[in-house]
Amino acid sequence: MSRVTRTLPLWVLYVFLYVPILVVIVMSFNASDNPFLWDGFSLKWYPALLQDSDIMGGLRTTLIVATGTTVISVILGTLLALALERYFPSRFLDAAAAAPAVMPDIMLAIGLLAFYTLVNFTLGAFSVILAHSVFGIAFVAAVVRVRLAGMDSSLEEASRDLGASSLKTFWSVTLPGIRPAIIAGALLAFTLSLDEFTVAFFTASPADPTLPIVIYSSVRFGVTPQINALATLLLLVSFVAVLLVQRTSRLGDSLRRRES
Amino acid sequence: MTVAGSNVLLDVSGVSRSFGEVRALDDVSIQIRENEFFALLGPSGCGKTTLLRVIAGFEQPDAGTVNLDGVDLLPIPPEKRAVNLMFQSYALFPHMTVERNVSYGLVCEKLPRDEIRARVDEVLQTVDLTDKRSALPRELSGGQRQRVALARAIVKRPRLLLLDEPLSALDRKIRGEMQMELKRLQHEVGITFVVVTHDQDEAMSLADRVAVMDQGVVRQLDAPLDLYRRPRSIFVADFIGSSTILRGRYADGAWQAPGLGSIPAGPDCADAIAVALRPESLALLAPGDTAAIRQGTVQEVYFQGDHALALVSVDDVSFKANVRDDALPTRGSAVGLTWDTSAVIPLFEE
Repeated sequence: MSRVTRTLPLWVLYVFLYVPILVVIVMSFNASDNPFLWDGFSLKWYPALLQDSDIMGGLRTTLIVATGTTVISVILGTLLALALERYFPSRFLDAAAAAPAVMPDIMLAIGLLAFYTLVNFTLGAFSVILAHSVFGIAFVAAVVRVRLAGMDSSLEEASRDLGASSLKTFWSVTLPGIRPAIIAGALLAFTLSLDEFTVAFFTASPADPTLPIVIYSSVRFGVTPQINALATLLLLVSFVAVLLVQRTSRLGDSLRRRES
Repeated sequence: MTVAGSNVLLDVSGVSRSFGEVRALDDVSIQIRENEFFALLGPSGCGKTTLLRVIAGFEQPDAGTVNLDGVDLLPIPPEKRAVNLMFQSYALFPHMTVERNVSYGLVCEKLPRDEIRARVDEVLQTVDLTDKRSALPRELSGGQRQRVALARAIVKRPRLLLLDEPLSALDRKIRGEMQMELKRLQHEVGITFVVVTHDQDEAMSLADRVAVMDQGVVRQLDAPLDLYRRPRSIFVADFIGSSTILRGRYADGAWQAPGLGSIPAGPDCADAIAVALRPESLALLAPGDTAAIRQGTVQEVYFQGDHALALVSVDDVSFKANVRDDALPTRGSAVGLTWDTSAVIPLFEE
């Protein structure tokens, strides 16, 4: 059997995965106003995006939310990973830390909205940041923990033995060791927040929607080529982030392998 | 006993530590003298590493005291103890150069930069790693990493340096070189060394005194030669060197071993529960030689390099005897066995 026929099922699978995305990308260069009819190549939808105040407003909110989520998730997620791995090993706490990452979004969304209403929390960018941090923290903690578990714990003991305080040990030894995992976790939290719809839909202020909500509202009245252009740009961002995560974690792995 | 210095530096007294049901340390008392090279020897799980971690401060004992220079160590956290530990894995910081690894402990002490530089230069020279100062740990060989770990610990000028299985990660060939290196360094820097090892050769060749541990208990504490010549227990006689151990009792001026009859032995065996014979104390004679104490058959011969070890069976008992390699007996041949009465070692404990 030739190599081509052997890998055929693989290629079919990839076509299945990427056809919808390709359609979006190709249609974003469509000159026609009708998103389902090809009428020649054009770049006009890209500058048109900048003119659309709804989309630009949504983009602004989304970037604020994603950045805020990343900062909170990285700090609290890393601390959570440290606590679970070094100080309070417990199977129950382990499971409870991972659950928000796999919990159905709709449940999380309803729960959060109910909670915000109960405590009279004003909905806005901040309420979405807190909501997204719920799963962001879980993802960061999961990634950082794997790295911590693979780290020789005698490194931290050696640091203390040489006279370093706990804080100095964390900054000089632990943090450099888990840095690749923290970067990977940050990129994950950022991209997850960037295109999250369900939770944001429930917890954002109607006056200040995130980009996915803006897109959803405009698509209800029909897909415009402008949306295709926006989707293409978002895809680019996500794709670059995935590549970066892969690179940093592979970098970390190879560093560790050479160490042993 | 030849021991450098006689002031007690570290006084471990009545230390016990349990992990659940396991008693890792059971009422351990050891005094370590200034400038001594001390070894804690025992099989894995005997508690030697736990004792090391108690001294370093990473483990708190359930009972007992640990004094250094007469000062109670136990309330002092590891980072403030004048004790440094060289880890079995070396635990070099992977993202720091050799120089930064070595200077780390001095930076923590907030010493002036000039002094740090001078002391790091000096210690790198001592361990002969000056040309590797900018290398990362992963770029070094096993032996070089070990020397960095050692330099990082001794640059702090601790009162006591603890070494956890310092040579176990090295190839057999460089292990011998590093043994001599460790001994040289200890004389040069004048620090008291406590090494933990499961390797009897390592302990015997390095240490001034050795504590043999088993199941959380110190079974015997002596200079290497005394441990070898005068083991007090079956465990120590068996663990250090090889020997033929004969259980029995002393009666009628001889050792009565079941299945072997009476064997000549001195009155020092009167209270013993067993006796041991080292292989070098046994001599093979021609079969029928009247000087032989027992007649036996050669079961197996193991070539060892400069000599060979013969397993000689007498009735149901196997004797281990050294033979010169220019006179190797053949398997299955009949031989006579003899030994000096003074070579019979009495053992008083299990």
